[in-house]
Amino acid sequence: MRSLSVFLVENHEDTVRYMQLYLEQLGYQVSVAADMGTALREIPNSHCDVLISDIGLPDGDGWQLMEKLGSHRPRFAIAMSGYGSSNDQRKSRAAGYDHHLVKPFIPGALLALLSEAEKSKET
Amino acid sequence: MTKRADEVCRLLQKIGLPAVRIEPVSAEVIGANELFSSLANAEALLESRVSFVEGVLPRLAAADRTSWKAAFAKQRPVEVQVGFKSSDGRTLDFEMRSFAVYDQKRRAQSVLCVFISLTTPAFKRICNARLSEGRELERSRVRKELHRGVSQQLLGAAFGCKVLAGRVATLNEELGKEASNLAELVNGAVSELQSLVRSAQIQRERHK
Repeated sequence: MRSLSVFLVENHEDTVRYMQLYLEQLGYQVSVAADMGTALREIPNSHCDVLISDIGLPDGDGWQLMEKLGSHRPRFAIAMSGYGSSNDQRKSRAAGYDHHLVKPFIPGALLALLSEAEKSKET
Repeated sequence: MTKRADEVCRLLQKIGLPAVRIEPVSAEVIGANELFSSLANAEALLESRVSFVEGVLPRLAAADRTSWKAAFAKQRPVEVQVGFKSSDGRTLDFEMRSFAVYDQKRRAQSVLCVFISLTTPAFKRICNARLSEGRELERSRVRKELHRGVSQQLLGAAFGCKVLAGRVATLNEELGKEASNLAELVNGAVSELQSLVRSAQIQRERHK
C-alpha cells in the first residue's frame, strides 16, 4: 500500500471511474467527488495528500475550488484541463496548483507527478 | 458633409464595424442615399418614389437597377449591395451597403446606407477581419468538441486499458501482454491527440 491519499474531483463518469480503479490498483487511497460542492464538503475531513481536480466542474471550476478550500488545501495539487494555454497554466499556478495537466494525458504522466508528491511528502 | 460622415461612423461603431472609414462622396450621392433610406420604409410617399426612379435609377448599373425595382415593387425589405455609376457612365469606386432594422411586420424602420471605397485598405481590413473571425469560430468549435468529447473519452479509455491490463495479467500472462499492448496503443492515440491540441494551441496564441 502506498502512503499517498488522493482526492479526485472529476465529473466525467468513465474517466473518474477508471482513474480511481487504476490508482487504487497501484496502491493509492482514492476518494472522489463529481462537483465542487461535494469536494468542498469532503476534502477537509479526508486528510488527503494530493488533490487532482478537473478545471471545468458543473458548479464552478478547479481554480475556485482551491480558493474556497483555503487552509484545507492539500499540500500537493494537480489541475487537469482540456485547455492548456499559457494563461490557463498561469491561472492554475496562481490558484495554488503545482501542476497543470492538459487532457488527454497518458497515465504515466500522472504517475510521474504522484511520485513527485510522494518525494515531497518524505522530505 | 463631414458631419454626416461622422454620424454614420458612430452608427457603424454601434453595429460593430469600427474599422470602416467613410470616404467623402458627392453631396448628390448623399442625397440619393437619404432618399433611398426614406424609400425603404413601406410608408414612403409616392412623390419620393417617383423622384428616386427618375433621379437615381438611371445612374445605377442595369443589374442593380433591376434588383432595386423588384425590391421596391414587392415592398420587401431591402438588403442590397450596389455599384454606382457616375452620370458619364464610369463605375464609381465605392460600394453602397444598407443595414435595416425591421419591425414585426418586416417593414424597415430605419436604414443606414454606407459608402465604402472598394480599394481602400479599410475595406480590405474588414474583409480579412471577417475571414479571420470565421476561422477563429471554427477553431473554437473544434477545440470545444475535442475537449468535451474525444479527449475526455480517450483519457478514460487510457486509464481503463491500464486497469484491464493489470487485472488480466494476474489471470493469464499471455492475455496480460495483449492487454498491455492495447493500453500502449491507446497511449499512442493520446500522444497523437496531445500534439494536435498543442499545435492548435500554439497557432491560437500566435494569432492573438
